[in-house]
Amino acid sequence: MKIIYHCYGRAHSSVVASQLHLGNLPMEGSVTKEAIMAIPEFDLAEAADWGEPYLVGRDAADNEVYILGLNSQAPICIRAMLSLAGHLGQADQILLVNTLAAIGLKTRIGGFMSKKLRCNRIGKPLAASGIISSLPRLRQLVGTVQEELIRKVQDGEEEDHCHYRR
Amino acid sequence: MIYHWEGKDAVAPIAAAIHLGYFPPSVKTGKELHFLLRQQLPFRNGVEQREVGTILQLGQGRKGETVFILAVGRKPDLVLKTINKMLPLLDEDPTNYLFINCKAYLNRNNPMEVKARPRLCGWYNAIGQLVDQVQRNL
Repeated sequence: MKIIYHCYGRAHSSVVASQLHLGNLPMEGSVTKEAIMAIPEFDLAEAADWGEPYLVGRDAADNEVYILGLNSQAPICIRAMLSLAGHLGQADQILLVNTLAAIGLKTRIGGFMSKKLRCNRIGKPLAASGIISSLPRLRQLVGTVQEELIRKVQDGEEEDHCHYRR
Repeated sequence: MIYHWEGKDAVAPIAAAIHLGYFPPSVKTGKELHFLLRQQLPFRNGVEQREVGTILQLGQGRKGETVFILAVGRKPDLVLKTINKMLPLLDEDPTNYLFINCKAYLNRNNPMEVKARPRLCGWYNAIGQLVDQVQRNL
C-alpha cells in the first residue's frame, strides 16, 4: 500500500505527518522546534518539486510513505490520481491524506515567508513553531490513518478466510 | 491515449469520438456538422467543475489503445505532471501513455484561418487532422 501525505508545498505539514507515521517523531509527548527543523525534508521542497510524490520511507507494515505538494490544485490532482488508480484497478492500493487541514495560520505564514518571500531565517522557525502548535491535530490525523490501515489488513484477512472456507 | 483540454467545450470529446470512429474525421458542410453536433455525444457541453481532473475512459481504438479524455482546467501543468509521476508508483510505464493537448494543437492550427470552409467546419476538421496525426504515429 502507498500512503501519500499531501499538502500545499510538500515542505511542512506533510513532512511532519510522514515522520510521525514512520515513527521518527513520537506520537505522544513533547517535541522541540529544533527536532522539527532537523528533519531533512522540512522546509526543503521548491515549486519544481510539486506534483512529484517523494518516498520518505517504509513503515513497520511495509507500506510506502510518500509526501506530495499539490499547490492550490489539490482537488483536481486528487481526482486525477484516484481515477487513474481506479482505471488501473489499484484504487485500494493508494491512500491520499490531506495534511493541510491540520495546520494553522502560523505554519502557513512561516511557509509563505520561507518559500515565497525567500526569508527562511524567519520563516522556517515560524513554520516549525506552528507545527508544534498543530502537533495534536497532525498526530490525530496520522493515528486515524494507522487505524484505517490496520482495519484494511484485518478486512483483507477476513476476506481471505471467507475464500478459504468456501 | 489521453486527449486533454480545459473542459469547457467539446474539443476532446469530439477528438475521442473521431478516434474511436463514431464521428468522421472531416465534414464538408455546415449541415453535416450540425447533424453530428446534435448527436448525444458524451460531454459535448464540456464537464462540470467537479469533474475536472477525472480521467474518463471513452473506449478502445482499432489498435487496442484505450482512449481517455481529461479536463485539466486552466492550469494543466501540475495535473499532468502529477499523473505522469504517479504512473511508476502504479507499476505503469509513462512511455505507454500519450497525452494530447487539444487546445495547443488548435491554437497552432488556427481554424479561423481556414477560409475555404465555414469557420465551425474548419474547427471540426482541425480536430480531425489532430486525430489523424495521432493515429498515424501509433
